[in-house]
Amino acid sequence: MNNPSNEEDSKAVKKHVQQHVMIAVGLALGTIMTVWTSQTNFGSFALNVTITLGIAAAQAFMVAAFFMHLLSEKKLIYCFLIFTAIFFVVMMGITLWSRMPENIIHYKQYVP
Amino acid sequence: MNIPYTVDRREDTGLYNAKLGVWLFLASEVMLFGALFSSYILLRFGADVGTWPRHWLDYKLGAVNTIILIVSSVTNVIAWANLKLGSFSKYRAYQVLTMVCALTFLGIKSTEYYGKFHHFTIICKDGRIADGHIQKAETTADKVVIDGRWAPDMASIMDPPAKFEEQKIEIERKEIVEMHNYGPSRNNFTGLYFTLTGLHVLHIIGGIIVIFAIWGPLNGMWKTDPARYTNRVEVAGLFWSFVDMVWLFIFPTFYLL
Repeated sequence: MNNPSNEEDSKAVKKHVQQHVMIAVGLALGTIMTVWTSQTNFGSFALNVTITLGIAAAQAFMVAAFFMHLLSEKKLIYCFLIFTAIFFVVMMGITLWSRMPENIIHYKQYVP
Repeated sequence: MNIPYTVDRREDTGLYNAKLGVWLFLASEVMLFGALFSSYILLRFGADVGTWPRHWLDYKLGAVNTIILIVSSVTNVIAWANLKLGSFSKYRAYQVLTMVCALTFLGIKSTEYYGKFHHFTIICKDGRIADGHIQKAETTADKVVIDGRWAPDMASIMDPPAKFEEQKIEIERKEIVEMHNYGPSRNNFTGLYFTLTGLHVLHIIGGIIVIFAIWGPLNGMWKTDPARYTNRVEVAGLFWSFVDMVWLFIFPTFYLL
């Protein structure tokens, strides 16, 4: 049965709720930090992108880990997500690889 | 007919049916959004210097929407936790907050979309470039009226100044060579922006429908099979958190960088 009625379970769920509120505050602060970092010059555009997307990735991890309870999930779900991550990284890798200067074919080369 | 593992966990997977299904679905969703982000990277880094727009979106509205979605995720999880505690009324109250947040998000998004469809760049025969929001009430068959500015060049359109004095501009239609709004067909940036955010909006609408259906028309199950009902709320919550997570990447990618 999924409906706990004893006091211990009740306390555990309340603690769980408090934890989620704290995480939400953290996520909101992360959003403010993302805006701040995007408007700060860290020396290069690439560094700005890395820092801003790094914060976004940390926020996404918090959502997945706590709101989606991924930290306490079953092995099978980790297995799915590992495969998803592999496919995702390969897809992004191909995209980035295709943008490397030596792989870009300029159509102007073939214009007589 | 009795469907197995709607409440009990399967011995081998440790999961009930709906949870297994929703995680498989979310894995496919990662690839769907991933493909669009991949397209963004390809087009963004392939664009010639000065041809990729900057500061076309209002980051303040984007940030507000981000916080609204975060709040909605929390209210959703608290609603589920209350259901676990057996408090159906509190669950209902928190889910109302979730739906209000979702509708607020959609309201802000539609305001942004409306602004983009009514924002025009006008190129005149004499080479002058005007940029601003069209005033429909004053625009006629002979002239176009916008609230905006005269731009010195196209570079100023691609990366507009943070502050400028807005003025009312009247242009005779016969003087206009080109006139484009900031809709999806404007360029690669707006095309990707509308595709990605539009797909995200469809997910928000889908999420609201599912959350509302479980909250309202389907809530009879709480009396007949509360454990299964709680599981339904949990898997809908997983989808909702995923939608929130996608926005956490859309916001910096399009609004800030």
